[in-house]
Amino acid sequence: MTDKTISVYWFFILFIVASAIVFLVYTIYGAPLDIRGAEGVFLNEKIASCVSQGGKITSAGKKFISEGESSNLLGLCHLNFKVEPFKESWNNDQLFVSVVFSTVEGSVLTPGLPILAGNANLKSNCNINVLDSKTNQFPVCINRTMLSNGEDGKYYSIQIFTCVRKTEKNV
Amino acid sequence: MKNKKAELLTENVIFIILNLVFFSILATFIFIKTNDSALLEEAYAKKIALILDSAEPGMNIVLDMSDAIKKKDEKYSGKIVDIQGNLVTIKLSQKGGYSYSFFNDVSLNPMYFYSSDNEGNGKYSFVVEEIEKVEEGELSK
Repeated sequence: MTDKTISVYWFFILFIVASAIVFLVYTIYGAPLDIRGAEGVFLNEKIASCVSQGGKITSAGKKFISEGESSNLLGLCHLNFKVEPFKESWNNDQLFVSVVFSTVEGSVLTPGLPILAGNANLKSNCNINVLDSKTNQFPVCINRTMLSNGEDGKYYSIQIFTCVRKTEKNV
Repeated sequence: MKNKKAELLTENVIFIILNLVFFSILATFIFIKTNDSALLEEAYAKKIALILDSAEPGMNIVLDMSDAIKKKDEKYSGKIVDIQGNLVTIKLSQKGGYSYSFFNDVSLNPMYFYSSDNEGNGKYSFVVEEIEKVEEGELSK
């Protein structure tokens, strides 16, 4: 084998190594930070502390129970679902929240009507293949159920469902 | 004999130069990519949005942003952190900038600007106002 042949092989190996490094750098530094999961959890916790504190239904929670689906979830829980303009495709429709108060009597749950805010269409595409980088273009959703004590002597099971899309800025 | 030695030397020199060029291009690419201020803009915009999402009224949040302040373009004299409504914008150069929204409808004290020392280390302080104060302010308008 001549020196020239060795140097050709050398540059071929260098090219492969460089391609691998470029690919890794693009993968690590090129991909945006995905914070949708954290946002979903924070939104869920924010609503949980809005409707129940210390195991008791709050005044906002009581309003939700009495007014039902017509209550102003965003206003009572101090939420703002406006999002930044992005490629004209975002139209304040990147978040969704659903809260369901169910009365608990023995082992029987009687669910009330859901109190909704945001884009309800996000719910149908939740958590589809979130671990697959090619198909994690779907919203990230968090579901949580908790028990709380109402002043009327009733126990309530509160299901809080939150959904965050913002895909273009996180994937 | 001399010609052969000279040829060998030239080949080796060319080989070494090509290697050096190759590695310096690679190193420059990695350096540019890892030190890109756009990465910091995105990271801080999202970090601040998440901090404000989990903020409660009355909190005073201090964030060390020294690395971003040090990477700010000297020609750019505008704000690094700008919070308008529920939108955080981080800008480290005239052409750059990254915005991200937060859902927590908190009101921030407009005096959230930063303090720095002689070494260029800087901290931003965000004070979340009490809801009562905000509501009183809105009522008095």
